[in-house]
Amino acid sequence: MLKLILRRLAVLPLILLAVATVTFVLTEISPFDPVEAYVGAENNVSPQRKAEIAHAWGFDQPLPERFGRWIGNLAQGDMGNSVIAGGQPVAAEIASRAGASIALVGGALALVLVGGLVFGVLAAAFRGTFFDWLVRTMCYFNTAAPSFWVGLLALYLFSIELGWLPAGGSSDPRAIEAAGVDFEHLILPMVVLSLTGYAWFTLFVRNTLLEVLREDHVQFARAQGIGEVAVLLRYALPNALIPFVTLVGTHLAELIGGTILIEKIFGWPGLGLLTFNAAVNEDIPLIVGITLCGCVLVVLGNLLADVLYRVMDPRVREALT
Amino acid sequence: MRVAAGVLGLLVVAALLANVIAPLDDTAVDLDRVLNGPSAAHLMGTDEVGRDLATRVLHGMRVSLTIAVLAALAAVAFGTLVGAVAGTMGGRVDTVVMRFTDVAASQNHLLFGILLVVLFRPALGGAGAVMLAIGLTHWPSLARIVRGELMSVRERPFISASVGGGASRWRLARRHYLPHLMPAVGLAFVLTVPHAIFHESAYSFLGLGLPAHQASLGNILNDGQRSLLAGGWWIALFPGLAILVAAMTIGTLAEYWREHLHPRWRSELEL
Amino acid sequence: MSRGRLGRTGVVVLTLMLGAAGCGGSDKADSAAAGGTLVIALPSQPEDLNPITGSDNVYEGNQKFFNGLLRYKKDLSAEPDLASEMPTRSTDAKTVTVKLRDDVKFHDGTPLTAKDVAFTYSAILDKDSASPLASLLDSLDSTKAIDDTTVQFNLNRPDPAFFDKLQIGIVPAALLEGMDIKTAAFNRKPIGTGPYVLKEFQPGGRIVMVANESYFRGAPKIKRIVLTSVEDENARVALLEKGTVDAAGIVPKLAPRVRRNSDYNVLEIRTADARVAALPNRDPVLRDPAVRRALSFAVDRQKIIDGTLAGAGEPAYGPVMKGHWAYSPVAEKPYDSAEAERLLDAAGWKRTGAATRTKAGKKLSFTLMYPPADSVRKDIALAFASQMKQVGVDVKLEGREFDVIEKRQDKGATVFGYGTPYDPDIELYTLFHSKFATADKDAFSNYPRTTNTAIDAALDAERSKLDVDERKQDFVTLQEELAKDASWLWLVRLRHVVVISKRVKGVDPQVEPHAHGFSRGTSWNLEDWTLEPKR
Repeated sequence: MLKLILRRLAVLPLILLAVATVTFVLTEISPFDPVEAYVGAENNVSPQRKAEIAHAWGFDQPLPERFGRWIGNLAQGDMGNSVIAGGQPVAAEIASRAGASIALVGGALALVLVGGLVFGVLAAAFRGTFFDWLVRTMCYFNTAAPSFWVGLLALYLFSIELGWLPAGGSSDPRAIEAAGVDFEHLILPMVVLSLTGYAWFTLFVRNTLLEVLREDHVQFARAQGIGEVAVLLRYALPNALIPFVTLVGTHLAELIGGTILIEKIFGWPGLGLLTFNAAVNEDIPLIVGITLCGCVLVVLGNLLADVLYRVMDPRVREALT
Repeated sequence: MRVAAGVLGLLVVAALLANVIAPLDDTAVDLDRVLNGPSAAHLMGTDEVGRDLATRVLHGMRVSLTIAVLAALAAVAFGTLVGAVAGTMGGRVDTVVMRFTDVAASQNHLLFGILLVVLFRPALGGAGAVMLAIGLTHWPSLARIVRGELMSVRERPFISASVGGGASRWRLARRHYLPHLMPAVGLAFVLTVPHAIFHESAYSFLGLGLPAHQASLGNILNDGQRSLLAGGWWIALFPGLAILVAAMTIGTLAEYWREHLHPRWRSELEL
Repeated sequence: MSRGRLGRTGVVVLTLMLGAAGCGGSDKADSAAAGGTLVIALPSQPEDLNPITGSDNVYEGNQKFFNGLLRYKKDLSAEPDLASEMPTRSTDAKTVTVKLRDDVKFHDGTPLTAKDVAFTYSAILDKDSASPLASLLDSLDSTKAIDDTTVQFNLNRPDPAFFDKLQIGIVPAALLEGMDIKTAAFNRKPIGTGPYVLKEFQPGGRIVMVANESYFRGAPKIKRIVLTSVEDENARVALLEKGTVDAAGIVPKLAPRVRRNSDYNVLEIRTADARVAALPNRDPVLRDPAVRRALSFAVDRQKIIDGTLAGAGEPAYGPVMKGHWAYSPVAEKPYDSAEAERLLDAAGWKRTGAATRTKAGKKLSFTLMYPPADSVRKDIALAFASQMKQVGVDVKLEGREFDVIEKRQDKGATVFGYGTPYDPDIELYTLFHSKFATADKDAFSNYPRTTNTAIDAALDAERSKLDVDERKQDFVTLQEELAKDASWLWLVRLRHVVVISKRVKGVDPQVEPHAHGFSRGTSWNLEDWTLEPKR
């Protein structure tokens, strides 16, 4: 097991190098002009001045030199400086915004897991009934409805029209204590972010359970006279949970994308909003930095999923020992 | 299932005939009828410069479907290429290519796509950049499918028979591999389209897609966000419904097709 | 076993949620203390608080953390700020001398000296700073500190607009000397001389500033101000209605809704910010000035204002706004589509029925570009195109980012936003002078590539004089020539709608420049406002 973890972690820098190289190449072959992005719109900046700006930021150095310097910096954890956000170091920017996103994603993930499990089990238990149909239809709806559309309507309905929940932000701006994350502000974006994932997971749990319920060992348990509820929870569910848990690791990647849209709608000061602003301002160093961090997160998530899989599946555990 | 097929058929026909049913003029501004609610004259109301919303949603559907289909095609093309290289060459090439595919598969589509859109928008325009972004983020599952199919086909006796009979690589590809791949790739293509619709509207919603005055479902939604509080809830509701309906019907049809023909790819294409 | 696992999951979930709850929202006890807090919602958070690098115009870079040598009064005339008296010019007007106050301290307690002023201006001109303000100071050669309270500016030409450029915030040399200014931590932790001190910067969220008790003009009355960024326009209005924020700039469309709320004053503030279509002189259709002049008659400006700006605007006919000392009404022409059609006919562009006009087989058609992220510009472009259609002119719309627009300078017209309520020379010289017409990578100076000797003469004349009345004459001539040349089709001037709680006293807005949300025009005297307690 330890060997597996170490092997995977050893590959991580190589993966990062590959992704970094690909993004660097893309940046080079694209016609994107960083000086334009820096000077902003409608500025009477002379060509000579633009050349000076390019030189000041190091945009005009030859390619191999720039690449080498960039990779070298990356290895030390220096992702360069944001061109737009006050020239601040990209790594620091990302670190300062990560907390808000972690709270959001953490809450959403919890809802996805709990909701998926609960409703998946219930739908399987009551399969064929109206309740099952209702759950399934709502799930199909949630997988097809764009999350940002739902978010928009939810913001409008609950915050603006009904006024039950705050209209965006992560905490009360007037509060004396340092700005942070506030449960009342967290509810709506968290729920909206979890909807698509929750729908997939519910369907997955339900379908896997139904498959498992057809297997021999379950039939055997029934034949022994064990009640349906016990059969479901003690014999079927554990097997269904194994692949379920591994999906968690991969679902993380989905949630990252979801935060970009949700944080924009709700004005949540996390990494998603940072990505959106970076895109609008065409701040390439920042976008690239966030992409690389996302890459790390996803690889770690997959690793976690694989480890959990091996921990939980007794057959694999047997094979390993 | 039949309902889904029927609705989809209707949508596609309506979208294709959009220019005939209700010709669109992006500049058909009517400043006297700004933000009117749904009525007999305007079934879905008017938008913030007085244009008829129903017309725009119809055309938006056409634009979004077109871009989604083209983007899915791009994904299929690139994925097939990569999968074919891995599947036919085997060995080390296969390992390296599939590792690369794994890494690409684990990237978040929207995040990486945003980088691509920002970088290539000046050259390709909004629509082109979005198509590129969707194509370059959705190819991995296609590559896996193509590779898997190719690997299994290569073992089959009729292939060895062909090779024994002196068939060239090209003949093999054309007469044996391609027909075998078609159903799989076709299904994957159809399953990618709802994703592509979602992504196109997401990019446009963020302001990174098509130019704002053109009718695309994401653009209209973006306009809708601004008009929400001024009372224009219909601008936010209808385009979203259109995306929902399109995605649901295509998805349902594809699911049905898959259940019937190829239960094997459940894990590939599910999440 | 499965029950146990579910139980554990439940605990994990609960912990996650409780952990995320953090310090919770403000409760009754806090609200009393927070009563002296003014909360303003901005559409976006200012990312760079350093006046040298944070903004590309003198208007917005200071926030409330810095002072310039001079500042504007309500009527936009200049008065001394950090200077002890108005600056003096040498006889050849190429040297400007400023005497400083001797009682000003930075937020960290160190005294302000001439050295800091010299440092600030030199840093802007320094190539390594990549300062967006450098082009503004094109007339400045060097800045010297003669002694602790005297600064000397050496210009390369007599610059009548130079006093406007003395509004730039002064930074402490000691904290930035020898550093790379564009990436300094100072940009997020500013130390200035201003009435407010930065207390908290929440990235992506809010900025908290507290009153500077040792401010040289006396401590501000409102002790705590929070600038919170709320990008969604509906959310901003919702926050106002809930009382979560006390002031915000909103879109005109939503003004009627807020006017119904009796706790707020809704102010409509005049701005110099105009939307104008720049018509390229090299375009085959637009190269004829007669055609360009005709187009102006075909624009129903009031309709555009009512339809796209919900009435919050005024018609614009030229680069200088009505009420400005340099304004001339010579270009004001009422909406007259019949006249437009007559002029187009006379220029040889005929049409049959409602079709597009043609001349020698070519259609009267041109491209109009606008930056897609700006919805107001998009709406104005749409309205403009539809009005042009009425008189047989086909306008093709294209949403393009500015870096793309630059490359297509001669291929289409573009909707720009320009307008300054301050000295017109700052903006107009580079916009209209022919010396900027031929440069290739410099699209935003003289975008249409106008080469008109009368315009050049008027610009050179106003720039070489210091007397206001004489310059006014030159500006009048300039506006006449611009109207004849018609390369710039001025459409509308925006009005900003600002909502402020009735508890706030002392609000007295200046005319605003091109800015977003809560700009300097409204908050120029923020330090003099008072906040009544909630009842």
